[in-house]
Amino acid sequence: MAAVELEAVTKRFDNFVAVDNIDLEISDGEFFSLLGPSGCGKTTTLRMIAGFEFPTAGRLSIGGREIGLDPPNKRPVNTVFQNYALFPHMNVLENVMFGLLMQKVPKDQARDAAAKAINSVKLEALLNRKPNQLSGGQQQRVALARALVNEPKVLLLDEPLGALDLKLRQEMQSELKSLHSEVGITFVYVTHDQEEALTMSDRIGVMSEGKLLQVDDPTRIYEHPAKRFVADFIGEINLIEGSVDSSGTVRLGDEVIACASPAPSGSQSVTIALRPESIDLTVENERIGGAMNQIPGIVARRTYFGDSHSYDIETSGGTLSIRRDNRPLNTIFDPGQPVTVSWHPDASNLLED
Amino acid sequence: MSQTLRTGKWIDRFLRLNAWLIFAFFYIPIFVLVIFSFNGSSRVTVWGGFSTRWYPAVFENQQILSALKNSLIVAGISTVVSTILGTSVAIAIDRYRFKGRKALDGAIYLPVIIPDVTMAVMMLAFFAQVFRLIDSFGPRFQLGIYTIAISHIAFNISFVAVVVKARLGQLDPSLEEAARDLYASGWLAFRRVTLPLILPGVLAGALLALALSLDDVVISGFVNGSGGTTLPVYVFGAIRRGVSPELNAISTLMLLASTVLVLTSLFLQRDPKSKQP
Ligand SMILES: Nc1ncnc2c1ncn2[C@@H]1O[C@H](COP(=O)(O)OP(=O)(O)OP(=O)(O)O)[C@@H](O)[C@H]1O
Ligand SMILES: [Mg+2]
Repeated sequence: MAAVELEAVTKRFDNFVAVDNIDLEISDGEFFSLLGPSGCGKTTTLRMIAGFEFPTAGRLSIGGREIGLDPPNKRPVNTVFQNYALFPHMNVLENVMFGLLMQKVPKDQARDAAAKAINSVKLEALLNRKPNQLSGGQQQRVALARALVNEPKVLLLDEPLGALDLKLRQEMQSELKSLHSEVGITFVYVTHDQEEALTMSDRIGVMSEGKLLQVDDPTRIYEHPAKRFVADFIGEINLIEGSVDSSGTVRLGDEVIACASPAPSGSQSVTIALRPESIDLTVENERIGGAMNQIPGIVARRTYFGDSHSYDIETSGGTLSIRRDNRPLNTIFDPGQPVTVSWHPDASNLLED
Repeated sequence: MSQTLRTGKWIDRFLRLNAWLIFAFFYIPIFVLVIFSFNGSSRVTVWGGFSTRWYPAVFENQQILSALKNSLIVAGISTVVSTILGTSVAIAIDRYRFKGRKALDGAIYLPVIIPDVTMAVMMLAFFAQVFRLIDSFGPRFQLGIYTIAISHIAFNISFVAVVVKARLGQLDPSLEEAARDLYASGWLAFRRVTLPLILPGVLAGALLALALSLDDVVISGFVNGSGGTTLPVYVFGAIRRGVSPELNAISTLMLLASTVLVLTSLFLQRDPKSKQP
């Protein structure tokens, strides 16, 4: 059963469309990330699920029940806010107990449950501190405990690690991930950090300008982006124009190449997406077995990155950027040297705009 | 070059002197007032040695006591009512997007800026109309301390609203959302989160209202009718019969009271972020 379901949901602010006709089903227990650049409508989508905003059009259900215009306090979801939004006049324990008390859980029972939740985020020593006496990471944990203690059906997290420094961020990422598998609650996680989304999520929804462009698991999002925007937004990628003839054969410059999917019928040109690390380089005319795409090229530039070399290779279809790991026996190519560029057909994806 | 430097130095000196002069201008009259309230002589212009005898005398004067009682009643009522109404107005302006919000936001400053005399004339004209209306149904109403209280409420609402609105502006709106997210109804979110956080602002507004009500003479003087004399109105009337050491003593006490109220109000209006728990 779907934990959260959006059907043709649109949100307009005056005449500005912040969320544009989104369809989305998030499964029970899933770690789902909404990924996209600033202003693409991630927070607005999350706020509609939480009940802070109401859709202009479309239907929204949680746990199979349509929630329509239910206020936030009538929804089985809890939110971890970007700035934590801890109550400054309450200590850690009171913050975490708040949701339970509002649900009329008896006080001593609420206290026990809150203490347990605080233990699970390792803050048992700081029960009586006020939020302004806590570090950013500690505040983050309180915000998590305050939400999770209510055992919501869905936990909404809006860039919860945005304010933390890199090291703490990585630490919290793995903590969040293990917390997720412990509690088995559906997480909807908003981020504009692609690495965070790739490493943590079961599935990712990539958004741009209010539209949901692609929903897939991290591998497919990275290795088989469907849209130009998705390919470009996540990681480095070569985007090159190829031509298509009437029989559907795709060419890169003069060379015929095979791709992960057939070219859309009727099109004359396509955008081919190719990750720099999925391309191999060999010396000129050295043939490689199997069904690899092979095209000739010339090294235009080599850049040293410590763990790898980056090459710009000129081919008849344009310049390709290539990454090669720096292993002891790997050949190093010099500018001006003719080479063979090869890759598996599965690595070249044809993109829609 | 050196010429401009010298000029700069002179301007500097002048400004410093100016600051001291202004300081003196403010505080010398207060000094004179306070010192002469401890004057042993009953002639105000002649120093007759130190004495505290005018202070007990103030509290034996029946007219003063009755004026003080009126003042406290008016101040009490107008403070409580204007604090509740002013806070509600501030919340409405801060929170809700309704038709006429912008206009109300501007209008709320009106009583703060219009002259007291104008306000007094307005209130008087207003009461005259209302009384005419009420009188046509039978009962006869007259000016008195309740008309003073109503007038004080009218201007105090603004001061409370302005102070509370400033406090609300510093409040993170996601706090109330967090409360709603954690299953609090709209009322409980206000009661348990918003209100405790704006309480210093509400108290600051209340103290300011109290001080303004206790100090007001112009508006109270216009709308008091007979028997509705407040302390400042009494002092104003008495002074026309001549300054007395007793008046100096009352004035000193009033000065003390409003200084304490206003300082406490300012203390409560400090930026909450700079406050240590
Ligand atoms: N209350 C509002 N009134 C008008 N426009 C709004 C409102 N809330 C959001 N928007 C607009 O909707 C768009 C999407 O906003 P949203 O906050 O959802 O973006 P986001 O993807 O979360 O961005 P970020 O990564 O910067 O947080 C933005 O252009 C924003 O200006
Ligand atoms: Mg956002």
